[in-house]
Amino acid sequence: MWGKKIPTLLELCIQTAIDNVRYLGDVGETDIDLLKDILPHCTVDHLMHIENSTEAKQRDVDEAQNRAVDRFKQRFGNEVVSK
Amino acid sequence: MTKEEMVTLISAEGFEFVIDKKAAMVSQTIRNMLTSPGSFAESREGKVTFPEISTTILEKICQYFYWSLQYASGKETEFHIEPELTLELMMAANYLHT
Repeated sequence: MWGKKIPTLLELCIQTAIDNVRYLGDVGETDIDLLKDILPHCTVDHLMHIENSTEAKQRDVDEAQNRAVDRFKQRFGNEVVSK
Repeated sequence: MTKEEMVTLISAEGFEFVIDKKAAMVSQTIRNMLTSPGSFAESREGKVTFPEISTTILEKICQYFYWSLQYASGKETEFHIEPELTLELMMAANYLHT
């Protein structure tokens, strides 16, 4: 009974955000450290949508997205991205 | 329930949530505020104001505190988070070390 760790609210939020990643829009208010666990679950289309919806802190978001896109390319190859 | 066992958490809009101190202490940040040595208003009066946390989010956080205590006692239910609250709640949870 005591062995199981209680999920933190932060963990629950990150999981919910990942489950609903397709609904993410403006992430300008959200810390980049928190987004780094969520954005890798996005498709290129999701990332484009987030980028277009987000104005504040644009530079930070671009950086995280570039990293996520790079990882996406590594996983699926450049053809998928360029289509 | 005596007054000492309760704390008041105040949202940005001024709504007051009076909850068990035990529940509020689930948050490491609130625990530090309430137990830090010296005569801080927070620990003296048991009131903590969060000017950056909206009422909706603070209410959800209070629900989480009680859910967490229940979970710890063996009743492992699911904690539902409305998708539209996720990002704002995540920021608050991060700040509260919760």
